[in-house]
Amino acid sequence: MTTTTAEKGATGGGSRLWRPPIVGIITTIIMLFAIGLGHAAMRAIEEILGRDNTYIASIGLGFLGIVALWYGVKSRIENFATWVGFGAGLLIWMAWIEFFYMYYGRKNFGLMPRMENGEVTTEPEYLIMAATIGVLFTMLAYYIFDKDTRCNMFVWIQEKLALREGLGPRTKTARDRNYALITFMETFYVTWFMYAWNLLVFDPAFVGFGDWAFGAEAATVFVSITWGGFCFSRLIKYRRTSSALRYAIPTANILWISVEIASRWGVLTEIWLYPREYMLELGWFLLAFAVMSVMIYRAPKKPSEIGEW
Amino acid sequence: MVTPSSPHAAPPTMPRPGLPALMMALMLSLGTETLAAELKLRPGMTGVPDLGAISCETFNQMHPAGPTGMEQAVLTWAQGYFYALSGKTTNEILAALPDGGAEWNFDRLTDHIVEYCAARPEATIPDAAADLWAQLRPPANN
Repeated sequence: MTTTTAEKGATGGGSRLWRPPIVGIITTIIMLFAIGLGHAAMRAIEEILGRDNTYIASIGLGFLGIVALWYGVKSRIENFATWVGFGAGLLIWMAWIEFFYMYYGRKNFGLMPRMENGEVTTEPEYLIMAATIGVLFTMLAYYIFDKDTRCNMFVWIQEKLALREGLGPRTKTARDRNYALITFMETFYVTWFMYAWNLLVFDPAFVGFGDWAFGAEAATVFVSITWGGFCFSRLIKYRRTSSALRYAIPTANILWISVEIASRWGVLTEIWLYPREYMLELGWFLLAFAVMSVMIYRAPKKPSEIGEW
Repeated sequence: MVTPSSPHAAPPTMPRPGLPALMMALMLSLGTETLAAELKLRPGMTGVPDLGAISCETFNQMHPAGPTGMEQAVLTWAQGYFYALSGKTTNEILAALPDGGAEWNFDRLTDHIVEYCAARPEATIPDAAADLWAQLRPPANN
């Protein structure tokens, strides 16, 4: 077997850059930027098209995500499939969840926003989303009890519930796995879970007001930083960029919960929510995101990441 | 034994302010405080507790975040206002309008309030409802 560039990179012989902890750090930053830029893209689409046209366009945008996923699912190149799955997940979440809920909440059903001290705190689309928590956990039950799951958290839960023996051996090898679909579903469920967590913490029906609400928010920041920090400490040991990218999705999203709460406390301004006002800053963010993404995409790969088994 | 009905009985005395009277006073005082307390929504609810008390500026802020819901809420408030003034439901008021004018439907009624508030952030929802009423009131009352 000949030694490929990818193999050289994988063993560190071809690159001094793409070694731990660089891969983990860069993929985490990429994912944090992706969340912020995803918010900015949503706002920009709304501002450019107007709300009513956005609702119509969201149907097509979602189908675009499905078409991308179709390309990704056909590919046997893990690196490509992971990126496509992630992009499709983001696009479909934005189009078919956020914009559809926005249509139903703001326009069709006619819900009012939740207010606090004369300010809008929760828009109707998120009120609907909060009601999907039961659906989310029902569907997550499938992954918790699925013997083929490779998600570290679900495997950990399976071990704690003494399920591994009862579930039996896995039926799929790494080669059998469809990475586009896996990354797509991971992006989708992680985003959904984080929204649900956030919405519960911001719901006065559960956490009340004042000190109780602050306590719940502070506890959430603690959990977010501890859990996200733990994931990050594992991620910085990764060498395979495709695996790192998939693991960076939950890592960045868990850490992002603290960003949302910091924004609620007025500690920072979420510039990604105001693309018109912060066009220059967001332009730099986009450029940095694009450069880092290309670097990670082109970084030396293990043969298995580029379809050479 | 002197009975109360006896003409020689002592005149009845005023009852002393005992525990029942104190409790009554306390309840009245609590009742007054309850009436004076600011109206609040149950935690988790949406919208505002007193739509008539908000400024157009607040309405303008809420409207993009829930246009249909805010329009329905403000129209419902205005319908109560019209009924109090005329004793008529909105459909009855619209039916009494002279023929030939533009049709008043949900969108036109609510757009009137939305546009009024957009132009006058310092005004209130009652101001906006009164302005709409000026368009709808029967000719005899003009």
